[in-house]
Amino acid sequence: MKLDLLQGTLDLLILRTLQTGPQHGWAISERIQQISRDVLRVNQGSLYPALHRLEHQGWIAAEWGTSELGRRARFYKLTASGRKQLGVETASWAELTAAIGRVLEQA
Amino acid sequence: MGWNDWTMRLRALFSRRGVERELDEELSFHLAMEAEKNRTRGLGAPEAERLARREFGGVEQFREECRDARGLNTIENLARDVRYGIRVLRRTPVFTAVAVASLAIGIGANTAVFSLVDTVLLRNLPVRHPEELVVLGWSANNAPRLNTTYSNSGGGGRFGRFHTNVFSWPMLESARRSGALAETIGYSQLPRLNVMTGGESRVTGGIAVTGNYFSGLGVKMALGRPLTADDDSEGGRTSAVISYRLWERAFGLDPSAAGKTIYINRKPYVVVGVTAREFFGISVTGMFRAPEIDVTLPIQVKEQIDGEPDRGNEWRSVDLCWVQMMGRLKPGSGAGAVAAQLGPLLLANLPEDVVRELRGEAPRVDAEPGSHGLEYGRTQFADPLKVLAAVVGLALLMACANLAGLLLARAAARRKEITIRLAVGAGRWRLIRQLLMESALLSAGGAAAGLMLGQWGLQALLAMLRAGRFALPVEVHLDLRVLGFAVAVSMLTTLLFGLAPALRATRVDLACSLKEDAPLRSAKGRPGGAQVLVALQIAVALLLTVGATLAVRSLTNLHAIPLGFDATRVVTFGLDAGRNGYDEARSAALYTRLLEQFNRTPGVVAASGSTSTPMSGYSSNTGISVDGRKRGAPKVNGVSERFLELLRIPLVAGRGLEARDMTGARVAVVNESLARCYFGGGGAIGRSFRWTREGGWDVQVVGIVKDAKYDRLRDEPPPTIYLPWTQMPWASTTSLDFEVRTAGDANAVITAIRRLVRDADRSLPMMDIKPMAQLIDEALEQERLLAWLVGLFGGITLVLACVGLYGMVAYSVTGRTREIGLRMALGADRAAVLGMILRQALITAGGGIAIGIPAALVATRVLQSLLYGVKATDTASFLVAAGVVLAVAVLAVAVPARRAMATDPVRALRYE
Repeated sequence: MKLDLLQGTLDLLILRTLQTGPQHGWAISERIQQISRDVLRVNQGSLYPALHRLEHQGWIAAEWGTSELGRRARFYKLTASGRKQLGVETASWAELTAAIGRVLEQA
Repeated sequence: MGWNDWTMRLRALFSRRGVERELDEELSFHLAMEAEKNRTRGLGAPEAERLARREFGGVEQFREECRDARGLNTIENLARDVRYGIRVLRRTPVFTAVAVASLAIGIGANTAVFSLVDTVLLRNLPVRHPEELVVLGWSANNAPRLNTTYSNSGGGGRFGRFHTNVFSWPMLESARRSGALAETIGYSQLPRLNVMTGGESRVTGGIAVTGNYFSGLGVKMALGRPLTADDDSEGGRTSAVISYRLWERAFGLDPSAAGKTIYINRKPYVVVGVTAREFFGISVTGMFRAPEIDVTLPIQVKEQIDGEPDRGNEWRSVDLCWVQMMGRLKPGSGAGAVAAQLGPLLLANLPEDVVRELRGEAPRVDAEPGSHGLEYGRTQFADPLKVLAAVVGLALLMACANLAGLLLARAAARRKEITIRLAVGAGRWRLIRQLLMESALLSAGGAAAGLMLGQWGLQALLAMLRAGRFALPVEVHLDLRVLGFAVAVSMLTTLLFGLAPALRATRVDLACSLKEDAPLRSAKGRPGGAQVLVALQIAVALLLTVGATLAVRSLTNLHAIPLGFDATRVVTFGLDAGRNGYDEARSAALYTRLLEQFNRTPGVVAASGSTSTPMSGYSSNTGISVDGRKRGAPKVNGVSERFLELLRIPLVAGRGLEARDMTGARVAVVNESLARCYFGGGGAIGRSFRWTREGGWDVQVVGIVKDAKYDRLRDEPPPTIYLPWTQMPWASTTSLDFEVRTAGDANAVITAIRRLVRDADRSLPMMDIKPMAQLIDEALEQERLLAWLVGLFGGITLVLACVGLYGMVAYSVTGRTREIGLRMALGADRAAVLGMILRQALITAGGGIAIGIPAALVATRVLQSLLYGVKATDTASFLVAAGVVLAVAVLAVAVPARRAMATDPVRALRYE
């Protein structure tokens, strides 16, 4: 069974994925699938509007480069403000999960 | 939205294809990689690609989402709306042109007129705390016989309270010493100064001021320093401050102008400073005979400038009132307190005989608010400007009504289009946005055209005002607040009437609306919004047509006023030898010689001289006494022997002036009014009077002539004395006006005369060369301007109203084509159809007239003070105006009515 992604968490995942270095869209989707051990179902298509939105907000920047197979590909990398945003979102995610955890334990 | 966002949006907009290509490439790269992965898992190529696509989801949907994310869609839709809007507007060029023109007229006219109103009537002087300033004057119930110069006095006795704006010098000094005001500022105008700068000479106006004028008012300087108390001390240096305008014209804004010497009436002055650009003196309309205040001099030099040094002692005495006063209130002090404090000082500083004439009454000092400066011409402009403001306000209302009517009709016509578009799935918001865009485009077009029209209209208005007798030296700029207001009002109208019907249309029940469009349903004759708006337009048009009719009738009446003299083929001009340093004897010799030469010139019927030519706007009065009793101050004109004959002012009794009188015994010819008022009508001939000011001699009346207008067309001819110009009691005759009656070509005569003047003195200019008829026209400038402008706006609104009416009827004829066809098929003849169409139009026009007449009855009351010989409620004018409006309305309906009559029943019934 695969889980649907919570609203808004895709952005966090993209930012986290890009923390290790520039990636193109397909590589990002692959990486999210791998790390989540195929539990999360990321609709591949919906990745792109999210990427463009993040670029729009200035958290990531895009650049054309050459992929591993020698094809032209669009590479995304984290910007300084994106790095800051990742920090903020990671923290609030941690808070949220901790809170939910507490509720589940004590209820 | 940040910078990043906007660069992306702009890039998205301008290189849309590039961005789309990149998006395609990015997505196809993803699919290729996914397919590649699937292939490595051992799938066949087609299967690998199919799986990749399935994993990806709807490519088109995500592509659209990407566009949205990049802000591409918003801008692209906007651009599409603009393009579509322009296309739609271009498809109906008449509608677009009328709508834009309506807006332009509403916006442009209001901007121009209210900019002028603001500058002339509302704006404060550009000085420190203008609200603290007061302008002083004084008044009494009975008019004392006061010796004044350059004053603005009037009233007294049966003409209401006497008031004047001038004080004697001792009064100014005691007011200053009393400390009633924080600053007591004195000034007097210096008319027609000959200012020489670097060999270039120009005639302009000036003002003589006390040393505290600039510091007391708080006038900013563009260059150098203001005049100070030092400049205004006895034997002080002859310093001058010039206006920014003179600095620009004479020195080309050269900063080294400060310290330069200029010659004023041939005497040297050092320019010490230039006033700030926005300062035009203390009166927006200039001062009497000195419309443009270009030179400011210390008041100490007043007598030497005026060229009457022999009157020197008089300037300092209580006998002559000539200095005008302004003051700055002390903190916490009020105008009333100041007036009360200064009252006793005034009484103490009046000559004994004046005090006696006041018969124990204490004259009252009036302290009027001075934040706008002096009133002079402001009062002259105030009424016409107010009327004009009302007129353009109506024009804006009219433009909005016109626009609203057009948009309503248009919305109704597009109801079906909108319904269809909604039915095929267009978003409601998207539709509204597009209609909004059309409204915005119209408004923008109207605002742009209005701005141009406003700029042009303001220049035209200023040119017209300047051509008249009153100057308007201030710079007037388009007022952006007014522009903003007019644009906002018209945009609001556009939005309201463009959108409201559209909104209603988008809410319609689709199926019902599509079915409902059967034209027979719309045949109900209930007055719709459009009809009410057209009626409103006709009402406004009628209102302005009534105004224009009244103004034109008043103007005709003014032109028909008998002048009492014959102005045809008479050319006038002035010479001022005094400005070139001639004394009285030398100028008298010059003028006598020139008059002889003029009279011998071929083409000249007669030539004469006078101290003020009739209708030039200038006049002088002097007090006279008969049998040792003071009898008032009639008008006095010093004339040469042929003056009365030349102007064909008929002699009633005695004889006219003759050449021998010019150097002989002191005689005068008086008009009938004077003979009646001063000599009791019976036998003025042979009797004599004395000048009250210089009573050393008797002047004998030798003739009586018919009354003639003197300086004002609207006033009854005043009691007037004509005496030889060489015998004027005291006024300087170093300048003289000339009248020349020509037989044929006036231009040839003027050329010949110009040559004679040049031969006499090369540096003596002929001033104000004008046909006398033009002087009369100029005297009616205000009325003509008003008639012209009200007529213009009346015409424009009438045209707009007719367009509105035409639009309404044309639309209804189109909508009723089937009904008309049916009626005709059932046997209605063309006359019946015509009657049906006309009835609707006439009900609307009649409704408009019914609203317009009472509105006009109220509104034209403001015109009353400007009208001559016609009542504001004049029935004939109302009838004429109503007739014109009705006639034009019928004309406007004729075209659609003809089309309705030509309807072919068969085709009409097949229609749709």
